Amino acid sequence: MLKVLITGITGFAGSHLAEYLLARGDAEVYGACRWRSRLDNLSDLRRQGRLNLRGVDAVVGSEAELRAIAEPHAVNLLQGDMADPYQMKTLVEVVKPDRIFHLAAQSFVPTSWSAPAETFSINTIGQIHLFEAVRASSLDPLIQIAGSSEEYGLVHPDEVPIKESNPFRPLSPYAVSKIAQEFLGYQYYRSYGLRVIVTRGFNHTGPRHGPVLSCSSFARQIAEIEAEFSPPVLYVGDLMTKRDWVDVRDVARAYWLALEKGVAGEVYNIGSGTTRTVQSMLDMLLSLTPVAIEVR
Amino acid sequence: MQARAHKRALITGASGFVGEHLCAYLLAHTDWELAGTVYPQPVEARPRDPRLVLRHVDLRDPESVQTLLGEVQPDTIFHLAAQSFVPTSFADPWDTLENNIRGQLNLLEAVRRSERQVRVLVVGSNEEYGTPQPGELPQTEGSPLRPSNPYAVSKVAQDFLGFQYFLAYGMPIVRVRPFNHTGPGQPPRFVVPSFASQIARIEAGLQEPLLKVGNLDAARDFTDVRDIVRAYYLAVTQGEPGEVYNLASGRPQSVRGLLETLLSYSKVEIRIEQDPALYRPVDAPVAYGNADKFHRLTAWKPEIPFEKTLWDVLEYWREQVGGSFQTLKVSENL
Repeated sequence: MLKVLITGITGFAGSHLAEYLLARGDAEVYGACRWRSRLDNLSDLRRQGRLNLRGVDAVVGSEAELRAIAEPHAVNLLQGDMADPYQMKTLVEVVKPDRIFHLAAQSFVPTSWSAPAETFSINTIGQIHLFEAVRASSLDPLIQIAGSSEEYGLVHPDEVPIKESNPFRPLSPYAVSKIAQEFLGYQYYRSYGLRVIVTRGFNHTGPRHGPVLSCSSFARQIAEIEAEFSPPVLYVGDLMTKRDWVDVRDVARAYWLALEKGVAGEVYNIGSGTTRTVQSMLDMLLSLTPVAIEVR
Repeated sequence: MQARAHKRALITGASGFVGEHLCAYLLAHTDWELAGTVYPQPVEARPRDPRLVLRHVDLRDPESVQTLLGEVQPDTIFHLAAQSFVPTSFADPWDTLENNIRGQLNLLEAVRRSERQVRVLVVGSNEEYGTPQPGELPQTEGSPLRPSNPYAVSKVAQDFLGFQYFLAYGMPIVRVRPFNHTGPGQPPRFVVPSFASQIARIEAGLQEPLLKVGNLDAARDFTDVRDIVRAYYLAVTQGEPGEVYNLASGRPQSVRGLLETLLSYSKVEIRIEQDPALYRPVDAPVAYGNADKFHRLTAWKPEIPFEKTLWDVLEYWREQVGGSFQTLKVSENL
């Protein structure tokens, strides 16, 4: 069976990718997480008994050790801090992945405004440690780097739908950090032949998305109103903003396909190809509830 | 704010190769007061000019940068400080990225918080374009970016970080992408001073008449550093905020050709030996740029013929070797 390593597996997209891969059933799934990471996004798997935590409390130091604890039909979490080059090296040597999905990142745009330096460090150094770990091994895995539509930033009306060749006009330090990650991936492909494939995901949403993001925020407010936890008032921001939303489960499948079919050194947009206003997304949500709700 | 008699400029990396030339240019052509940062070496005890004050500042430290900006209160910043040697960036990519991205981020953040209108020059590199594909020469500002070493990646990041601070905060940031530049004072780890210093050593009998070279078939776009610093001054004073400008001669010079020119300036017999250790993992065979956009804006074009640049570099090294080879600025070779 193929061995797959997911960084950022405890995150929103990472957890959906893990579920997708388990459902496919044709890969051993390993995920790197920091000691005492929150595992909320993996709680469904945990309830189903498909989350193996035996590699979390201590660093698994050898392949034999891993063989002793690994479960083929579960997501195997392993301790691995992206900020620690030695842990990354050990992780890659022990798992010997055929495919790596590099999703670990500080991915919340507002945090990048208040903490740009940290966002840069987290997003670039982790990737360098991962790449250097792969270089130091004798492995030749396919590696997906998760870029973002944020890299395009300011887009002119005549540039829609956005192609991969569109100029970057990044509006946040997060977006610049993703540009750096992407070009770092390209550079390791050029310099060392690492088989790096970059995806630029557009807005993805779905179950478990953080409630600070518009779609989740609205859905949560509606659910709270339905349950009569809150008065029937829904608070919104700018409803005219346009976004290209993709279901996170389609994104997880696209990540898999990117490594199945993608060409190393290339970049692929992952979007629905259509944009909606926040307003229309809100209207769709409101049409799904019988409760009358006032929008503010 | 009090009206000032003179404008103030901050030059980061003021004691580096380009920084020294830029300070000399600004001292000669403006009445600006200059503050320069120096790192990691200490500040020289005796200032070269009373209008230039040097400070020892690690730009990676946000508090030091904040203090620096508060004390200097510059109208203009030339951000030159960077780890700029490609092989070093391969040896420790994170060190180069951290140095180059973090330093600029700290500067831009400090400027943003100061709420002063400061014109900032962000220095990228032709390395951002990487290896051109057929039909992509000369490289223009619209050419695809294909960085092929970690230094180049750090310059792409600096470039877009400058652009992002312009887009998000409207800060008057001008970006330049200079192609290769050389001149007197460049450390000998770069190709032209490497050849010139070895020739000078051979002439002085300090080295056997053998010159080790890397890839002679590569051709690059060379401009004299003195033309480049003049362009930096024009870019920061006349450049359109948010825009990016190539600085280039527009002509490729083969490494073999420049070696032959340098050898023709010397009377000694020198053997040439190719050293694979001097090759980079990925080396573009030919790359040259198009600086029309900057020329249209400022009428700038390189004025110093390349032959004169080569002669001046050789003379510089003859002087260094003749004086005392021991007093070479060893720190710059590290």
